[in-house]
Amino acid sequence: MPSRAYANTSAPSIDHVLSRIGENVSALHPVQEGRVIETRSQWGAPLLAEDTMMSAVPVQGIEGGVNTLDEPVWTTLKRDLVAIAIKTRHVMVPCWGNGQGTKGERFFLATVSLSQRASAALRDWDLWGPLLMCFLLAVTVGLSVSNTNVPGRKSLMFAVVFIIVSAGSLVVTLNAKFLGGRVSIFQAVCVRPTTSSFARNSHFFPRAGYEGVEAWFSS
Amino acid sequence: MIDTVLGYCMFPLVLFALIIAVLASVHVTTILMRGPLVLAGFLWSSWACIGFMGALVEPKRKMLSVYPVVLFYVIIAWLILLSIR
Repeated sequence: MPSRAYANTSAPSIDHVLSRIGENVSALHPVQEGRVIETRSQWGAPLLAEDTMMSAVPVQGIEGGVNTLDEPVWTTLKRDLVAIAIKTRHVMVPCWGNGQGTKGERFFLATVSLSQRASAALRDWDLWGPLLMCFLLAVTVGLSVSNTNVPGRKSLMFAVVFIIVSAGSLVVTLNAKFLGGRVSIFQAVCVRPTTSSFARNSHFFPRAGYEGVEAWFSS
Repeated sequence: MIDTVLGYCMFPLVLFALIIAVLASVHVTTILMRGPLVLAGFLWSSWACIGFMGALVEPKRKMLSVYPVVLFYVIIAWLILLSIR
């Protein structure tokens, strides 16, 4: 059994685990290729969670860092907030890059094409930032609308702005997807995310659903 | 990922909406005062989004994917312009 085979190894990466399970399953069902992938992704989550909980020493996370279950919540939150701030700065001033390094290095970075650095900056994507923007805008509009003539106008405007922003970005995203973007929505960024806490703690989320959504979008 | 780009590129609009809301809370604003601010936020958002969309879609289809995004930002800018006063 795969789980017994990994009881003595220190920290198997998830790709390794999934590939080993895939081999075993495909040996059992060599014909049904689609079912093999499905079974493999369903088995991924319990195996990894079991490995993480059984070992006394801190196990490495998915991306090779220290497991985020062992650190304070505030550290995790702060890292996400800092990531959001860095990405917001990238968007506000796309020509400046990271703001790190000497002046010469920054000049060199400015000569590199914008799209390359943009894709590098947004490779570790998250959904906290868009949620924050949407929420901020909805709160701003909702609070500044006058409530005197029509009762309940503030909450109505909050809901309207929230729905317009979220549904509109969904439609625009689908349009960009149908135009044949080089990078699909979840593919290639979802495999090995670095800063999003949702993905970092994804032992607790059903791996099958996670990959199922990705497969749906990338197919 | 594209959703992330859209959300982050909306930040200038959100920032200018906050500025307009603060201005409107201390003084009565006219549409001539709010217009340039909203326009600045809209142009800034579109400029940022053009740069980031180029990384996601192939170059010859870049404008085709930027166009609906700009329309989306027009709607949001219009909403900010008319509702915050």
